[in-house]
Amino acid sequence: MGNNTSAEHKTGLAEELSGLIDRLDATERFAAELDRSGKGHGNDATRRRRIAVRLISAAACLAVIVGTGIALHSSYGAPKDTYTDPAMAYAEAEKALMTISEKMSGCADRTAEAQNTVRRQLETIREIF
Amino acid sequence: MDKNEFKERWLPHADDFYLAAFRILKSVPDAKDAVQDLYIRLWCSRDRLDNIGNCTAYGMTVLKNICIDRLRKLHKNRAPDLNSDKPGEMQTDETAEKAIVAKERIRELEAGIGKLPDNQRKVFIMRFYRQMSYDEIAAATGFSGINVRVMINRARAFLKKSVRLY
Repeated sequence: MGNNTSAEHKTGLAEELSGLIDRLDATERFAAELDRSGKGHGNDATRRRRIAVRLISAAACLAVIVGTGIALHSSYGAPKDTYTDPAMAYAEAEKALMTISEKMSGCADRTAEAQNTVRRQLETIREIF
Repeated sequence: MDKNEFKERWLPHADDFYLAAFRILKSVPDAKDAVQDLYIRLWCSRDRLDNIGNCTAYGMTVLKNICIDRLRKLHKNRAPDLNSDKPGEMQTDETAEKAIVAKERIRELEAGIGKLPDNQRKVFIMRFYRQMSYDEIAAATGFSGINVRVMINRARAFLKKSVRLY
């Protein structure tokens, strides 16, 4: 090829190279901006995933703690019908025992009556035979 | 060294580099590619070029190695008898790798920009390629300042998801 052809191509070269340098510069600055905003590609998704995992872990811990508390409260809850005052507790215990005693004394009388009846019947039978 | 300083220092030698590449490679497209590769490598190592006294000499050394590599790839055993292992040569495999990464990044980003809606693409190019301020973009496009910011953020978010910039 002659010098004329190479001379024609020379003329546009500086403009092309200037455009190339502009593109190199723009790409570098954009890449640097991406690095600054979050270390490149897909970081937002990683950050969101990390936050979601932490929230779910916290919710799970809370559920375990609340569940344990409810279970313990049900097993070891304060029984009904109790007294915190010792004097009242003694009085109620005495009353309960008196009630039992009254009931039992009624039964004891009837038992004695039944025994007498049975003894009379046995005497009658012995007299006959 | 920023973009404008780099252009001021290295672009004036572009024609000389092109002629030298053409003499070695004997092909217009190959010579242009070689010169583009040269400038990409120079850009990637621009932080180390402040102390270069003679830009033409340095650029010619790097360019010669680029041309020899291209010839070796094309013709295997027919590479010219040129010494490519000069002492003090700053071009290393690392710089060549950076140049390849830089080219890939441009390709990826421009493919992503091509998928943006028209308004977002226009505004994005003004912001990142022409380095216009938000107010300048608003004045040029007729959009409000808030609208410009919203469009750039959307474009940025889209490109962040869809483009891998290594």
